[in-house]
This record gives sequence, C-alpha cells and structure tokens, in this order.
Amino acid sequence: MKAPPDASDRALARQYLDGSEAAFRLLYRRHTPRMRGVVLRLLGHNAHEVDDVVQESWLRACAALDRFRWESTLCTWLCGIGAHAALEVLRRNERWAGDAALEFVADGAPPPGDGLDVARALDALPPRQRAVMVLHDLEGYTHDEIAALMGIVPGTSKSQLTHARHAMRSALR
Amino acid sequence: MDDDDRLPPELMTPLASLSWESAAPPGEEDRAVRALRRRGLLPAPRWQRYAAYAAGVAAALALFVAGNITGASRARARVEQGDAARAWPAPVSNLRSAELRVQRAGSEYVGALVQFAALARAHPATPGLAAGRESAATTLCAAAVQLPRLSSAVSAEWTPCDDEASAPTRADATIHWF
Repeated sequence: MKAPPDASDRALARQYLDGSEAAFRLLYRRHTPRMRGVVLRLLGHNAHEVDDVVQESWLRACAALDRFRWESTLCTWLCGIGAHAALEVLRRNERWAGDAALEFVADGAPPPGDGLDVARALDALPPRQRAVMVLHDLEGYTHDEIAALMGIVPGTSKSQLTHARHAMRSALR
Repeated sequence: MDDDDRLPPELMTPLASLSWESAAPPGEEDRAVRALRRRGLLPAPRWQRYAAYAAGVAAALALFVAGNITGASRARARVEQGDAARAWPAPVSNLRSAELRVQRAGSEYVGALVQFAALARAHPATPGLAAGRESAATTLCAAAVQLPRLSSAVSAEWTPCDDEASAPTRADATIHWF
C-alpha cells in the first residue's frame, strides 16, 4: 500500500494499523525529530540512551495507536510518550538522586572559560529540575500534569522550576 | 497560570533560541521498523511472507518425498526379508516339526516336478529346459545323500514305492508318500 507523503496523520495512522510499513515510515520521519528533541532535552545531550528511548516510545505509541482518541495532535501525544519514557530512564538510572551533579550551575559559579550556552546550561541542570523546566517552559505542561508524569506533588514541581530558573539565570548571566 | 509560572523575560529569549527538533541518526528508522516487526506490530514485508510460504511448501514436499523413499525402502526390505525367510525356513527344534517340513518340502518338490514336466511336454523348445531338468536331478541327489544320516529305525521302516496304491493310507501313516 502506497502512502502519500502529504497524507494527514490520521490517514497515515489508519494505513499503519492496516499493516502499511510505508505509512509508519512517513509518520516516523514526520514526528521523530520533535519527539527526539524532547527526549534529548530531558536526558541531557550526553545521554547515550536517547535513541533507545525514542525507539521504545515509538513501540509504545504503535501498540496504543488504535486507542488514541485524537483529542490532541498526534505530535503532542507522541512527545508525551517520549517524555514519559525518558523520565522512566532517569528514574531507573536513579539520576534523580544526582541533584549534586554539576551544581556549579545552581551555585551560580560557572566553570572557568564561561562558555556555557543555553543548551549546555540546561543540560547541566540537575535532572529533576531540567525535566520540570523542559516540560513546563518548553513543552507547555502544567504543574499538575508534570506532577502526574513525574510522580511528585505539584508543589514540588513549582519549587523545582523556581530552582531551575534561578540556576539558568545564574548560568547565563 | 500565575505569575510564578510565567517564563521570566531574561530566560524567554535564550530558551526560544533552543532547537526544538533533533534529527534521528541514519539507520534508526530501519531499526524501529525491525523492532516493530519483532513485536508483531508490523507485518513482515510481502517478499518475506512469500519466502515463508515457499519455504513451507518446500519443507512439506521434502517431508513427503523423504517419507516416500523411507517407506519404499522399508517395504522393499520387508519383502526381501520375507523372501529370505521363505527360501531358508528357520530351523525347527523338534522331530515332529522336522517331519512335517520334510513332508511339505517333498510335496512341493513333487508338485513342482509335475508342473515342470507338463510344461516341458507342452513347450519342448523352451530354453532352460535342460537347466530345469538338471536342477530337479541335483535336488533329488542332494536329498538322497542326506538319507543315510537318518537313524536305522527310520531307514528300516522306509520302503520305496512305485505307485500311490501301494502306499499306506493317510489315516494310519506316520510318513506321507509323495
């Protein structure tokens, strides 16, 4: 079955569910860059699990695609699955505990050379702060949604965001 | 969204400059397709399905041919075994069975000779007539050579006969005449 490149997400999803590999490939090419961007931000650019997480996210999405109700865009839904999978990896690797990592950012003491751009400053945030900031300030999630996604209370999400912003301001000053 | 939620202006510009997208490395798409197939979320490509059907048919054919060959060779072996068993009957362990076998073999020999003689008369020019005659005579000689081995008691009772009328009746005979 040939899938037209300009077909809508919904049409492609239907074709994929009918067994079309071409339709899946089109969806993959269309949405992977955005999903990978989210995963990359959450895991940090040094994380080597990014591509595994993206693949796992696609597998979950494809397994659940027939139950997707199309109340949001497919891209938003896919990015949510990617974010969820990335947070699972962070939790599994116990990187939540790594809040001391690169604390120089939070302390407002950039390393010698001061070459931090905004991406590196974001990567240097402790994982939990980075996750909250990415989800809230970049992806537009509410604190309630973040709390549900990360298994924390909304107040914690707010405080993590405050810390993250403070750290970012310090790093970018 | 309350004031705390609003992105501070000094962070808005830097964060807006971040790239939102990240292209997947080459090969990741194919890896995802393979993973989907492994989990049964995507059917195998058509050529693979055809190859699987062809392999199935080939396997079934191979199984059929192998079964046929095996069956035929077993049947042949069984027939050969049967032929061998008929040619060389198993040795008997008692005198009565040996006596019965002598009777049966004698009857068969005589019956075969009668048939051979009739056919020889009807087709005197048939090749193999001399060989058949020689075979009959050789068998008789071989049997005669074995006779002195019988016990004296049996030898004493044994009387050659010329015709069926002088032979004892079937009811009281211990030896059946041919």
